[in-house]
Amino acid sequence: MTNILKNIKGDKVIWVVVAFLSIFSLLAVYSSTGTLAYRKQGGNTEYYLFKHFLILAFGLGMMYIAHIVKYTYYSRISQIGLVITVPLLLITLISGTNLNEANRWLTVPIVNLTFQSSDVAKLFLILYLARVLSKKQEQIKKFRSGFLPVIAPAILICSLILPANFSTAALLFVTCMVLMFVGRINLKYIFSLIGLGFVSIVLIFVLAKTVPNIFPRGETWISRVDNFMHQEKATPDANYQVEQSKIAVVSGGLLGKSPGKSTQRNFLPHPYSDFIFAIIIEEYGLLGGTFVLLLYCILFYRVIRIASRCQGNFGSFLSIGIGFSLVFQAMINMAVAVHLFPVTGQTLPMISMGGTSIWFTCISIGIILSVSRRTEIETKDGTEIEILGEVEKKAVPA
Amino acid sequence: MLRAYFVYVGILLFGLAILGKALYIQYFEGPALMEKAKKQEMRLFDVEAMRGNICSDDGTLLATSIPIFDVRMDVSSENISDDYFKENIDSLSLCLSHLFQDKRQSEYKKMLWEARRNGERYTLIQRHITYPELRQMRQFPIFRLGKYKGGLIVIPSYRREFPYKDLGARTIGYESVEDPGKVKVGLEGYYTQSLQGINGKRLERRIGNGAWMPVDVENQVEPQNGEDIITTLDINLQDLVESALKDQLIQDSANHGCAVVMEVKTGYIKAIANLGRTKQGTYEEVFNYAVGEATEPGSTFKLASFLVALEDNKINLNTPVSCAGGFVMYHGRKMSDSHSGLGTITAQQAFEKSSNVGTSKLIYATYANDPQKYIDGLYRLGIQKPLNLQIGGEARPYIKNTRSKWWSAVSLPWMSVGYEVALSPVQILTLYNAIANNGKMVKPLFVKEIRRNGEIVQSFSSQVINPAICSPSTLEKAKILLEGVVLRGTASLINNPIYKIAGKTGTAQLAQNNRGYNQDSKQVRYKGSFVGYFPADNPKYSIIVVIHDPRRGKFYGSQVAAPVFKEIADRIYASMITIDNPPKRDTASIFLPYADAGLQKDLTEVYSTLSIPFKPANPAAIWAKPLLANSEVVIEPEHIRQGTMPDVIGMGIKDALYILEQMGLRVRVTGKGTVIRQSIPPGQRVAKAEIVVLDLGTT
Repeated sequence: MTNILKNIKGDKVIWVVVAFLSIFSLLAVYSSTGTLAYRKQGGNTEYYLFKHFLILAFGLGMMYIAHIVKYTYYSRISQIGLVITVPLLLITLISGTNLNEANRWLTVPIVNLTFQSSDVAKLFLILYLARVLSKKQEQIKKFRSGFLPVIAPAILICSLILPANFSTAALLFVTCMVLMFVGRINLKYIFSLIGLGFVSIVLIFVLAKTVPNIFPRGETWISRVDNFMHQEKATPDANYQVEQSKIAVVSGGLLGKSPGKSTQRNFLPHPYSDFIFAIIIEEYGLLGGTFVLLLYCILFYRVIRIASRCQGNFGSFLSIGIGFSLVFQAMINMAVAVHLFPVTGQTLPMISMGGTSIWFTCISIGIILSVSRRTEIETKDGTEIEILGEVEKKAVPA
Repeated sequence: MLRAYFVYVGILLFGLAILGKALYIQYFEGPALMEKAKKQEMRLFDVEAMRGNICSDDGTLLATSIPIFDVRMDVSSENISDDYFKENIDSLSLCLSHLFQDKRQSEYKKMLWEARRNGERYTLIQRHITYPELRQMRQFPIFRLGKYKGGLIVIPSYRREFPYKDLGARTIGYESVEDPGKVKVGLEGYYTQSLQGINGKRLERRIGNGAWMPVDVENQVEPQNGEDIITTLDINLQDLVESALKDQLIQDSANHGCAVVMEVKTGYIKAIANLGRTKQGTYEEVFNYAVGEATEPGSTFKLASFLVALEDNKINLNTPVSCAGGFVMYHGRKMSDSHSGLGTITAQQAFEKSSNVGTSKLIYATYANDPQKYIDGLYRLGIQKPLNLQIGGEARPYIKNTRSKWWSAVSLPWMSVGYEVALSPVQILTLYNAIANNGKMVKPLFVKEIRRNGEIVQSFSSQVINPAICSPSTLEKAKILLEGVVLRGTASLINNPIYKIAGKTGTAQLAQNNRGYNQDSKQVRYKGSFVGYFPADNPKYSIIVVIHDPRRGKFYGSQVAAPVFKEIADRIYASMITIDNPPKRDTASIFLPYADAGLQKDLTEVYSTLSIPFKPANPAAIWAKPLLANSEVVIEPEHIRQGTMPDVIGMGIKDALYILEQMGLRVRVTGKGTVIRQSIPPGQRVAKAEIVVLDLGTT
C-alpha cells in the first residue's frame, strides 16, 4: 500500500480533487439508491453502495495504471483506436442493446459487460486529434494540410454517434472545436465551423420535425427542446423531471437537508445519475453544490497548468482536450439539474453511478496525470527535449 | 497558451451561470415550487400476484385465477384533440355498445361527451372485462392510439374461477361471504400462503383525478405468482359421490349429509361431498360436515369397543352374551335394542346385529371395575387426537376420560355403543381405514403436491399416525366382524356376489340441543351412517356416508347410508376392473394409433411402452413423423434446417412452436388441435422474424 502511495505521481491537487469527488460520489449514490435498493434488493440498502464502491475502486486502479503509462504512448494507440471505433459505432447503431429506444450500448460477448461505445469513441477521437494537431503544427494555419486532417475524423465520429445520442455527439463536437482553437487552427475556419454547426443543428431539428421517423430519437429531441423553450406550454407530464429537479434545488436551501435526507430521490427518475446534482444540492445545500462545482473548476485549472508546463504539444493538447470534455460534461449535467439546459442523459463524471462510464472517466484522468507525471520528471532532470520526436524515433524500430 | 486560458474563463462563466440559476430558482421560484412539493403524493402500489391453481389429482383445474380488467378512459387527455374526438366519438360509442350490449350507442356517446365537458380523466367504461374483450377494445377508434394518445386506462386484476362450479366447493374453498377477500375456507384457506404468491410493488405518483402513474420502470418489483396445489381429489369420483349423496338426501328429505372416499394405502381423500339443505330446499355445500362436525357416532363406534376388548383378550368372537328382552338397565337408565328377542348370542352376532345390549354388556362386564382400562385401550388406538388435516376447521375428537367431571356410572356402557363421545366422520373413517390397511393408521390427505411453475416444491406421501393399532390376531377378528355385518348382519342389504364389502352401520339418536334425547317424543332425530371398505379381501378404498336427520320414515344406517356406499363402491369397482385386470391383447388385429409428428425420442418411447411394432428412423434425426404402414408404424425423419421452412403439419402446437421459434420465426396460431396448414410451404427459404401462420384443426 505504501509502495503504491509512493508511486502515485503526477499532479497532487488532481489526486485530491479525485478523492473528494469519489467521496461525494459514494455519499450521493448511497443516498439516492436507498429506496431503490430497499425495494429491489429485499431491504439490502447497501447493495448499490457496495457495488458502486467496487466499481469506483476498480476505476481508481485503472486510473493508477493509466497514469504510469508514458503519455506519448497514447499517441500511437490513438491511431489504432480510431480505426476500431468506426466499426464499433456502426455495430452499436445497428444492433446495440436497446435502452430507452437509443442504441447506445454494446455488450462485450464473454464478460457480459455493457458499455456505451460513444465513451470509447470520445476518448480515442480526442487522443487522435491531439496527435494530429501536434504533428501538423507547422502547417496548422492552412486549410488542406492543417484544418482538414483534423475536422474530417471529428465530423465522421460525431455523425456516427449523433443518431442515437445527440447530446454526446454535440458535446464531443464542441470539445473538438475547443481543441482546434487551442491547437492554433485558423480562427476563420473555426468561426465558419461554428456557423455551419449551428445551421446543421437547426437543419437536423427541422428535418426531425418534418420527417418524423428519420431519426429514431427525433421525437425525444424535439420534445425536450420544445419543453425547454416553451415551459408554459409543456404538458405537466413532460415537465415532470425538470420540476422535480427544481424542487430538489429549492428544498436544499443554502445548507441542505443533511446527508441521506433527500425526499426528491423518490420523485426523480435516475436520481443517482442524470439528476444527481439536484440530490447533492438537496442534501448539502447550495454550499455543497458550489463545492462540487468548484472541484471541477480546480480540476480544469490544474489541467491547463499541466498543459502550459508540458514540453511537447501533444501533451498539452491531450490534457486540455480530455480535461475540457470531462469538465464540460460535468457543467452540462449540472446545468440540466438547475434547468439552464434541456434534459440530456449526460452523467456527472466521477460522481454518477454507472459502471463503465466511470471507468472511462478514470482512464481519462489517468492520462492527464500521466502527462503531469512526465512533466515533473522532465523538470527535475532539467532536460528540455522534444519528447514526441524522441519517442517517435524509439517506437519505429530500425 | 493564451487560448487555453480563454477556454478556462468560458468554463468559469458557465459555472457561475449554473450557480446563478440555482440561486434564482431558490429565491424566485422557491415558494411556488415548495407549495407544489407539498401536494405531491406517492404511493407504493401492490401489484397483485396471480393466485395459484387448485387442481385435481390428475391436474384438472378446480380453482384458477383468470385476469380481468377494469377499463377507464382519460377522456380529457390533451392528446385527444377536439376534432379527433368529435370525428370518432360516434364510432367508438357504437363499438362499445356492440361489445358490451349494456347501453345504446347514444347513451355511451352522451356519457363520454359529458365526461369530456367536465374534464374527467378517469371515466369508467366497463368493469371486469375479459382479456379477449380487452383485445377487441384496443382496436376501437381513439383507443387504438394507445395508452397515452388514446386515453385508454386498463387496470388489471384477477377473478377466481371454479370450472366445476359447486363440485367439492367447500373442500376446495372460497371466500367467506361475510368477509369477502379475507377469510377463505377449505384448501383455499389452509394453503392461502402458498397460493397467494408475493405481490409486486410499484412506486406511483398521483397525476390527478384519482389516476396514478408509475414513476419509472426501475421502481418496480415484479410479483411472484402463487404456487399450485395438486389435491388428491378425483374429479369424476367427486362428481359421482356428490350426486349419489344428493339423491339420497332428497329422497329422505334429510337435513344434511356427507360422504368421503379415502384411498386405503395412501390416505388420499379421493372425494369428499358435504351437502346441507338450504332454506329453498335445495342441497348445497355450505359446511364441511365431514371434517368439522363431531357428533356422537353411535354404533360405528362399536368397532373401537370390540378392538379394545379383543386386544385385552377379555372376549373372543364366541363369547356368549344374553340380549334377551331387548333391553338392559344400568343404574336406572334403560338401554334398548331396536330388535328385541335376540336371546343369547355370540359376541360376533352382537356386533353383526349391532346389539346395544350385547355390546354394552360385554364391555360393562369386562371393564366396570376399571373403566380407565377401557379408556386407555381407546387412547391406544389414537382416535382421541385430532388428525391435523391439511384443511382448516377440523373438529376435535372427544373421548371421555374417567377423570372428567362429566364421568358418570352410565358413561362406560353408553360410551361402548358410541354415545358420550364425539368424532367427526373423517376421524371415524380414519379408524376403519386402519383396519383395511392391515392395522396401519394413516392420516387422511387432501393435498399431494405443491408446485411452482410446474416444478414440485413439496410433496406429501402417506403419513403414518399409528403403525399398528392392534395385534394381527385382533385385526383378523375385526375384519371377520366387519365382513359379517355385510354378510349376515345389519348391512346384508348391500351384500353382493361380485365383490366383498366390510363395514358397519350406525344409527344414532341425535341430542336435541339441551333437551336430551327426548326418548318418548315423536321428535326423535336420527343420524344414519355406514362406514367400511372394499374389496374386503384386498381393500382399495374406504368410504363413510352419514345422513343427518332423514324425515321420510327411514332412518337406519342400513337404509339411508349403506345404499349410497353401495352405489359409490359399485361405480369405483367397475372402473377398477379395467385398471387392475387389463383385457388380454388381441394380437391378430392390432390397432395402430395415429400420432402427431414430434421428437423422435418421444415417439419411440411411446411406441415401445405400448409395445406397438415400429421401425425407427435414423437415430440422428431429432424430429420425426410417424406413418402408419400395414402392420407397423414407420417413423420418418423430419429434417429441420436453419433458414428453411420445415414441415410442421401434423405436429402438436408445442413442438411446432418450439421448432419455429428456435429458427427465429414469429408464429401466429389460429384454431385448436394439431397443425393442419402452414402459411409458408416446407422447403421455402425463410428469414428471421418472418411471420408464419399455423392453422390448427383436427384431421
